[in-house]
Amino acid sequence: MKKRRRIWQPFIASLSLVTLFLSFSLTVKAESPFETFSVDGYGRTIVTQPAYEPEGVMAQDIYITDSNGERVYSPLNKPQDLFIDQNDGIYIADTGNNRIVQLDKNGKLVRILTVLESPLNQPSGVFITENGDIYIADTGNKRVVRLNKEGKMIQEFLRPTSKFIDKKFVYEPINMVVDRRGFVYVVSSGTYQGIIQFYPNGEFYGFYGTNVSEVSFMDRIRKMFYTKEQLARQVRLLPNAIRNIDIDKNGYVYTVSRDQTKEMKKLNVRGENQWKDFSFTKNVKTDFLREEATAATSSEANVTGVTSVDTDLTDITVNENGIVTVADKANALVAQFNQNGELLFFWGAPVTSGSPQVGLNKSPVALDTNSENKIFILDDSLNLIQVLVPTQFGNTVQDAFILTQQGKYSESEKYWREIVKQNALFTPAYAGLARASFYQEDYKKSQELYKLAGDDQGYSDSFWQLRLQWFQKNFVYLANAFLIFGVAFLVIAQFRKRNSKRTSGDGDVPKEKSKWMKDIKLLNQLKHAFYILRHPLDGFADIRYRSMGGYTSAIIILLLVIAVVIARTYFTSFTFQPVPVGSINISSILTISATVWISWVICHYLIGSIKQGQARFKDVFVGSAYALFPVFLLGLPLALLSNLMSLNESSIYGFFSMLMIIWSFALFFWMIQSLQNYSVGETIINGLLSLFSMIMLWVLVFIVVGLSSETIDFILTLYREVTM
Amino acid sequence: MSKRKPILIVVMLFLLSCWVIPASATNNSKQSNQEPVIKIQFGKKPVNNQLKGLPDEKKFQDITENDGFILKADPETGHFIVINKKSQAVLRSFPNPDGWNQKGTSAVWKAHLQSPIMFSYVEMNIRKDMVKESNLFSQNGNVEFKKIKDGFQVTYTMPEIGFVIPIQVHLKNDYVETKVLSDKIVDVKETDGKTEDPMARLVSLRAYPFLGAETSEKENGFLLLPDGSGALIDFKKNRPGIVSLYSERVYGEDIAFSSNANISTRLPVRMPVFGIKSGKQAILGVIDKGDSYANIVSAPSQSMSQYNWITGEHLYRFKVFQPTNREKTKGFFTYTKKLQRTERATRYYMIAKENTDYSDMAERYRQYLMEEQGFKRNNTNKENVELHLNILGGGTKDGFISDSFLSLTTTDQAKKIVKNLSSQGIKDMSITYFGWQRGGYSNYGGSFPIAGDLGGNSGMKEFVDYAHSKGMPVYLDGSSYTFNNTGKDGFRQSRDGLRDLGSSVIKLGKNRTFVSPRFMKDVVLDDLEKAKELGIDGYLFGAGIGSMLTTDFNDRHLASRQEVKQIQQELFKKTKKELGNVRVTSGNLYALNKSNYIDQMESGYSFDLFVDRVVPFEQIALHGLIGYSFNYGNMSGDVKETFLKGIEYGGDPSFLVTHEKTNKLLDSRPLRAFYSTNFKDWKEEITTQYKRFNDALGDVQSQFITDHQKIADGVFETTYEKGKRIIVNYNKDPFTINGMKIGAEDFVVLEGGK
Repeated sequence: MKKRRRIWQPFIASLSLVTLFLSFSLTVKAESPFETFSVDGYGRTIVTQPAYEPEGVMAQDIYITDSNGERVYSPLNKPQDLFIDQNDGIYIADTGNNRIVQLDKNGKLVRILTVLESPLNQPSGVFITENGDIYIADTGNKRVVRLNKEGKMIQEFLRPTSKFIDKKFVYEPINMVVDRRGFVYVVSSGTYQGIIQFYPNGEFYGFYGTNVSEVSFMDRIRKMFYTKEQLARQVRLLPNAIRNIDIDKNGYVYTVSRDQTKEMKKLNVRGENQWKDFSFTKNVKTDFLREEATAATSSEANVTGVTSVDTDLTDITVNENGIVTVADKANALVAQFNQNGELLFFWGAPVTSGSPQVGLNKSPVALDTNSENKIFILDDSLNLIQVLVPTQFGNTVQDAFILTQQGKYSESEKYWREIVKQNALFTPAYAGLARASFYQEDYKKSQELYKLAGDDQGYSDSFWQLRLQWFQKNFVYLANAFLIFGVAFLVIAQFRKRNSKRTSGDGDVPKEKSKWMKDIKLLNQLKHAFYILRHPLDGFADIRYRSMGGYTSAIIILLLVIAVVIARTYFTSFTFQPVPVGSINISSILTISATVWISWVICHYLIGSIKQGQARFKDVFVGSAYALFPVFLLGLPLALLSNLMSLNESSIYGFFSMLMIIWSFALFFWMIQSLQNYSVGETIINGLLSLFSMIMLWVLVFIVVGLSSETIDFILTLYREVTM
Repeated sequence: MSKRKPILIVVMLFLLSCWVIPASATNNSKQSNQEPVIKIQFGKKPVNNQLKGLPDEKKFQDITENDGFILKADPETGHFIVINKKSQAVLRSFPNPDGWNQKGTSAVWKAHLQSPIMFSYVEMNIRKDMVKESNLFSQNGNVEFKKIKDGFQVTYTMPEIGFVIPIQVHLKNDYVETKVLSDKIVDVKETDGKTEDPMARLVSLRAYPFLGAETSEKENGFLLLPDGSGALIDFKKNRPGIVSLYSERVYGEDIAFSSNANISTRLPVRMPVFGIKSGKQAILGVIDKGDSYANIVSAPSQSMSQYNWITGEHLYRFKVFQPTNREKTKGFFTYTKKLQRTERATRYYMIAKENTDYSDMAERYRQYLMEEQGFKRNNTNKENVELHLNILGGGTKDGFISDSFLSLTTTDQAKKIVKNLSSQGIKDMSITYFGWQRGGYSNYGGSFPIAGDLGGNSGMKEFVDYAHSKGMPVYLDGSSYTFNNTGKDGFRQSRDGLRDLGSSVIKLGKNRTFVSPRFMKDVVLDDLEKAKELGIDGYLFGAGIGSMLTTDFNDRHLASRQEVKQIQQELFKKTKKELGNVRVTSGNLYALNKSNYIDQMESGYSFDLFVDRVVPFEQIALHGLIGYSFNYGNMSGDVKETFLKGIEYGGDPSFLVTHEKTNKLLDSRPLRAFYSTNFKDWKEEITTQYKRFNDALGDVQSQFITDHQKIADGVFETTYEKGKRIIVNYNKDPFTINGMKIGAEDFVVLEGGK
């Protein structure tokens, strides 16, 4: 099921790239400096009202009393981490100032920790346990220190000693979390082995949550051909280092790393990733943001030439309800997911070099949430905390997701309803409502809602239930009908048998009839398509030698096929084609197939003529058209069938659609064999050669087009330079 | 044809520059000889390059005086002071000497701070794309000073780069006006062939940039930025070490020049006004002439220097991207060759009152608007607040085979909506129809007749008649005239599209072409007749008519920014004359005095980190002159907050609705930005909000706002002329003041005298 969805994905993705240009006249006014997006059930990025809005900034004015008793302005200096304890106290690892700053929830300074007995050196991580112990990743001193509530040092976690640890291993803690048992998970800068896990007493326990090294296609090829020496000289493929870490109340550990595919992981206690299929970039389409930026003034000049920026996730945080929030430094955006890794929102603004704005990050390095569900984002270039508060809308969405997560479908309904009222385009809400209706056994409604939500599985399940109901209701009629039909069939069969016995002998009648039919040649030619289905080799030969097909009939068949393709796309049920009908661009599908078909005809004719084939161009044209006949024959029944089936029977549907394709292919094969008068081996070779020449033809076309446009471009550039 | 254009332009520019520059040079010399006024000619006395600090006020000469003020000036530098006779407050054209000795300012900025002018220039022979900032002293300039009527004229000559910049200063009633004589500016150096000429050309000029500048030592003032509804930067001793600079073009960027590199994320400046308040004195700066070519520039203390300053910057040349390939991905930046010679004048109003605040500044600005810009008091005798009902008619549906019309609210359905609302007791309503064009919203060009699926012309007429029978005006959205994507109205993209300096047609997205303003004018005027037949009360303009200002380099329809401004003004005037009324969406100042209402007015700010307070400056200035509303009440993250904002700032309720369910909008890509429009969903909200709006603001519609204050965090008070006060509490907890409780996210109305 999941797989099939993916086939559609590139298609849908390309559609969603078509940007949503906000018009000048009827825009919605910004309540936040960034734009908030979500993804609908069809994978399209949609604009929503802000889920969070900026409340202000914090930690901008910190005053300390110096040795002379004077109040001195002492702003943060390249702070690297932020932690909020269960009492909403805010702790900042003020790395550049070698201290930990504690603020209250309104941003007022509470205290400053420097650990006088053993001064901190560039602390870049801080963590507070439930009983108030403070853990600090003291990067400069290469240790983790544990302080008690009062700030007295009680424990140190130095470089672990174990036979499993390499000599080259660098121990530079940048952040850590502590689970309920007191086990400490330390992230060390640039360490590919993963997280270093300590026993509560400071002993080394093992490595945890190690990333898998990414092997590219080229690496694999290298491995096949390179010698040992060459391989040894290559840069070793090491897993990506973990960048940051958080832990939720159930003990799941969340990590972010600079990885191509597994940017975010949710690890259980054994270090297994719970979000196996999750990919950040697939959810958060940042190119959308960037296009939005260029669209703002696009005189044509600026539309192209946008370079892509990678994602660079710097921190992750989980709140009490399991809502996960991550910060992406490369795009300066923030994204929010639910427990299962489904995207709720992401927001950001085009990165500009202008002066800093409230709510927008230049370089977010750490973030955390407090009990009021506010998000605090630490920025190490602005040296302050940006505070974001959830809007009414944002809160409702989160509540709805949480309730659905807990299985309280009926309770969640109220929230989903509110969301639909406020933003009818936020399709996850329809999925939520559909789930509620399904749960209340209102399948008709849930089917409709699932369609709005773009959820084909849900749609199919509702359909299954509806069909079951229908069967149950109509079982009596069905059984009776079946009985009647069965009896009738038997009777008719008997009758026929007797009849056929009686009529056998006088075969003149059909012959006369065929004479009469011959006058209408075209009709005969069309009828020939059916003959080909039964006797392909003879049938195609008849096209060649008995002129049982002409350009007109071929074109009629092509048109019929096109009509059926259109009708099929239109009528296939949502279960088997989970995209909105309006978003399918039928003309592009037709253009592509037409080009492929035409180039096939040309290439095959040419290949045939140099490889001793006997077919004329007309034969190839007509034959290729007739070979598509199964598409015409099976297309509509398939569409009909799709409306009677749920995903449980998808194998049957799949079988028939496969049959259609294989049949058509087989006809092409026999067509070559019969028209060109080839043996089986020759047919295969020539078929492949035709395909190859098709590819070459297109490569050639692209080269010619590309080169000529380059030339035109060159001349234009030259002209511009001269006339400047 | 289009290929030949670059040559043509270059040749034309070349000829023009050859002709303009010598002409103005001779003009200048003649003029100075003929000047009849008494002259105090100090000759060409070189200013001492050694930075000696700020000028000594004691040595200033009396120039002129009127009832309230004395103007004194320093002939050596051209600096001046204005003394308020009554309060003895002093307005200086240079920073306050009190804070001069604070450390931490670079030598370059020390020179800037002393200089009466700051300018930027580009050296065409060295780097075409880079401007240099400089000032009078760094260039070893000369000063020529003479008295004229009501003031003085000072001419700065900088022989090293060949600039001559004459400035006049006048003292009028309660303001001093600085005028840059743009047509007499010389920025071409006469070379003798021996020394190399860098071809320095003037790009921008700030005259008396540090007028009224103050340090933050006393923390007793603020800067007023025209950002959003009005933003204040408080004087703060300690600011984080982040470079904070506000620099925004008045009336927004010019898309004919803007390139990817300089997209501004800030809201456009709608009114060319700014201010400084320090201690008892408040100065309101207004760019009176040359507003189409001006920036507002400001920086708080600790950003560039120890001073808080704000000024208007006059622009003379503009950065352009000259593409060199067809895709326009490659190219270089350069500056326009021609100097933009239009009148430039900035006024500084001196407000001397006890405890001046932004509301006093807004009041003075209101007076300016009424005296100089033709605004009149809105003498409505309506008791009720108007509900602004925006109806979205239809759009274009992305089709399976071809696109089709997506009907969202037909005229019949609109009638039902209106009927429904008036049965709920809403008597005063004004209706604006969006997406009425033949192809619906996102159809640009060939607007008439009204889309057939909505009811066509006859349906609309019927609807208008129905609304009129209830005394409700009906407007049509007219902002769609800015674009064209159909080729109708006789529009041909290559012929009638708006072009940038590089002569390429400017588009929004893939297929929406900006229409040349001159061409657009003809289309709108042609359509006025058709609109009149429908009996509508006017257009709601927006985008390229009233809220966006562009230069057009299309040879057929050539228009400068100034001329485009006049075209837009004319459209407003004509529409008002033909249809009776006209409205504008997020309008710029020049479009407001003809309009009777501003839709979608900004109520927020651009979220600059250095801004400390957001205040309703524009609203205080405009309330009682013209009606306005903010964001649609149903289109926000926080419905409550939007509602309270309307109450606090004196706006009208405004909603955008459709008859069809909102998820229908998903079928149309351009409409996906409107996420909640279904009338059924919002019916109750509209009625309850309207009633509360009406109770609070019904009787103060034509009154001025006289005061606005923050009472506590999240609690604000607005006071009207006749004493009515409204206190709004945005907090999630109730607030108690003088024993009176204001509920959480609620407000109270105090009638005058209570």
